[in-house]
Amino acid sequence: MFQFVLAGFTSPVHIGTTPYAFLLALPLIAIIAVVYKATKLEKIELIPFVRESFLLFGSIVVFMVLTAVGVFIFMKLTIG
Amino acid sequence: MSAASAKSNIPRPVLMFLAAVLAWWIPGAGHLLIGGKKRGIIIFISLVLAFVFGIFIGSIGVIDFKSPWFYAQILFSPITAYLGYLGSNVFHLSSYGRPCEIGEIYTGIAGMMNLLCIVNAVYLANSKGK
Repeated sequence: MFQFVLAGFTSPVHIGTTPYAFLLALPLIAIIAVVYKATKLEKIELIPFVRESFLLFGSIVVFMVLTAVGVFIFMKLTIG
Repeated sequence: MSAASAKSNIPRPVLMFLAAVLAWWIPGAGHLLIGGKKRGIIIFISLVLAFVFGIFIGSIGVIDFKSPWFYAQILFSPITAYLGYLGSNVFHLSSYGRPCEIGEIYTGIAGMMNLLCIVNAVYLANSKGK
């Protein structure tokens, strides 16, 4: 049974080298934010938990975008 | 004797050890042991989703004993080693390219996030134990 279920995970999904592939980072960032907040918050209540997780998710995304823009500008100025 | 009173009678070092081992074997189980039901369920669902998504994208071949990512992946659960065995010895899989990278990142980060949860469960067990 276990191996039967695993048989569905034996071939990789096709992912092209397109800019859209970066969108696959979003679910991972959401999971990181949720798990981190689950360990840090004193009390788990729906509204504060969702708000805190969303804030962390947004912060990570914004800083990743800013880093990407910074690296892009640096590359343009140095390599061209 | 209720489960809560039985738990409160467990010596602190034993509770800490049990929380760490359970949290490693089943993500979130360490928090369930020490009474953090919601925390445990959130951690379990999130980390299992990340791990399953990782092996869905890159196949079980992303769990490679020779890859440095394996040290991060094994932190998710000992079942990772069994999956690695199945991938290399039963299904004879090898993953490569972009799907492999993304699968390794997802499964590796699921493992590293579980390490954070193990440490947190031990910390909470330390403050709750006798």
